[in-house]
Amino acid sequence: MAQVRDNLDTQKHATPQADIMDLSGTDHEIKGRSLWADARTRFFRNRAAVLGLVVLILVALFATFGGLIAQYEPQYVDFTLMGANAYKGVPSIETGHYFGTDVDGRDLFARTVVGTRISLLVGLVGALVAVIVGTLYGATAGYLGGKTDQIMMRFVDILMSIPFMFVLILMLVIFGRSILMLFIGIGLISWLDMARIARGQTLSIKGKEFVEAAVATGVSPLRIILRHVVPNLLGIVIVYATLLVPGMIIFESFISYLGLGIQEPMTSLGALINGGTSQMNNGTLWMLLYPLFFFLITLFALFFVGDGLRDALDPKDR
Amino acid sequence: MFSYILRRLAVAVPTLLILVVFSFVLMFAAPGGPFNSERPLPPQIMQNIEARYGLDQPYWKQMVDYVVNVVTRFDFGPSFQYRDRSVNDIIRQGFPVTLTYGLWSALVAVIVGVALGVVAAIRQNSWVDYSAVGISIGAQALPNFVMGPILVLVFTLWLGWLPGGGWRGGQWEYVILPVIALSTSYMASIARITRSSMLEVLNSNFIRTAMAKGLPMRRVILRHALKPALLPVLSYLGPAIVGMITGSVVVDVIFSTGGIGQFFVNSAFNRDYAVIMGITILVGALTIGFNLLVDILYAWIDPKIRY
Repeated sequence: MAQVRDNLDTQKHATPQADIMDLSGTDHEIKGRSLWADARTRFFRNRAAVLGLVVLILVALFATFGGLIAQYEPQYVDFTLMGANAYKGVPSIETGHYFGTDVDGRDLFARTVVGTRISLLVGLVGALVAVIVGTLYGATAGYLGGKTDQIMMRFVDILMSIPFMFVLILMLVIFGRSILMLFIGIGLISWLDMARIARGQTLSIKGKEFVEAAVATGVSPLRIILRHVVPNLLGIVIVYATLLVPGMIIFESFISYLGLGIQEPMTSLGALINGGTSQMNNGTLWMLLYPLFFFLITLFALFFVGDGLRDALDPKDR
Repeated sequence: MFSYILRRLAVAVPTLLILVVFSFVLMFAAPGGPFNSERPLPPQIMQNIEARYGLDQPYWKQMVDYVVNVVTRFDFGPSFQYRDRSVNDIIRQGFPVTLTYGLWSALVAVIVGVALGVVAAIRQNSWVDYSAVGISIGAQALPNFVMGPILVLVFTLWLGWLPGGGWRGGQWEYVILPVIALSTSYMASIARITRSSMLEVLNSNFIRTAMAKGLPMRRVILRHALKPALLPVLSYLGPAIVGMITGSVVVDVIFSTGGIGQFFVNSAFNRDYAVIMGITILVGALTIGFNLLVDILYAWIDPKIRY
């Protein structure tokens, strides 16, 4: 019986290559799908995420090239409109003030472009710091383990329990309010969450065979972290970087809203929203609504893209 | 349990000390003293002022004095800007206001959020569920500095129902809008967390058993499902309270309630380091204290936590 089956098997699979060709019925090479390709398919199947991505690209284009469409410089003050923007600075195509003017007679379209640019920049810087510092820190702590891990993560715990908004405002007061200081402040906090996430993921990667193999062949710990651990963290890191960005944009706008962040004549969406709210009862609602619109669609787009990325790259989570 | 609390305290206290020392060092890194002005004061007067504020002492002694005063007597020293008031006076004036609407906000966020989440979970995929999820996504993307102005716009300017600012000793109509502005996004998060954990609990075996016994739905939810479903909410409370404390700065400013947030921002413009430091340390202590409290509660309630 066994003999017969063996015979059959050898007969059938004498040329396995030919079998596969036979099954697929085609003669071109079969392409494997990588994890990234799978994730891409999943992402593009998610309508909300794709819409978010499109909106995000449009907002980025607006922030980058909007200045070319604007008819006025963001700093240019039209003295005839100053204080009279409620009836003279109404949004219109004819005057070239597409979004109207603010209370000082400056073109709101140009200023919204600048503000959106700052917000996106803040998100970008925060995400970069989170990805680079947070990932390396978390991966190192997780990979080394033991006392080092404990000390490193305790340090993160301590930093996380400090009310950073207040400390950053203290720093802004002491070292002067500048964009650089704001970026430093956002960089200081943005990596904390990422370090925790990266560490948790590293703990599970550490036990995998390929890491063991690397250790066995005598690869140095630094090289293992950089070559074997970090690339495997990338999926989750990208997801959380996207999900952390809205928080950072809100953080910056919060401070700028209070007037402690970006200073005149530069502006940010938070500062513009503040300008709009202070004039709310003077009938110049466009001063609030245009910056608010760009602020909200940016946040929503980021939320949806982040969610889509999470579903695509980290399907086991929820 | 006791040793767990001790161990947590062993982290919390140094954290607070680091915060105090860090802000103190920052203050000395600042260019110029608090009393430098366009028109320099006569050296004799300058000396007297510096002696009054202890600024003529060496740095290390100032720092030690400050830390000792804060730790032993909860004394943050005099304000540099309001010459006749101490930081403690300012905190005593502003803090009760912030605390009042802060506590109300926390209550509203938890009660409404949990109720919304439970209803959404029970009626999963109904219109109640969809609208609850929709509202919570929307409310999460609306930061409080956007929420506040919109509330003022609608309820004060358009409808004229509620005052758009002020405090008047905490009369109810002055409290409502700050509470809504502060609590909404946390309410939304709590609703979302409750919904997902409730769904998970409702699918578990012990709930099926309770249903099979023929218990009424209300009893199953309240007696059996709610407690385990609330554990994730409890662990979210730590960050939520921190967020509310931070958010109160904006709410104070928008609604001019006269809370500590308003003093904080004013002092930031006036470079009144003493007040900024005092409030930062107070907020830090609150943050760390609440986190500690939530952690202890969590360890106490959840039998799965080993400490």
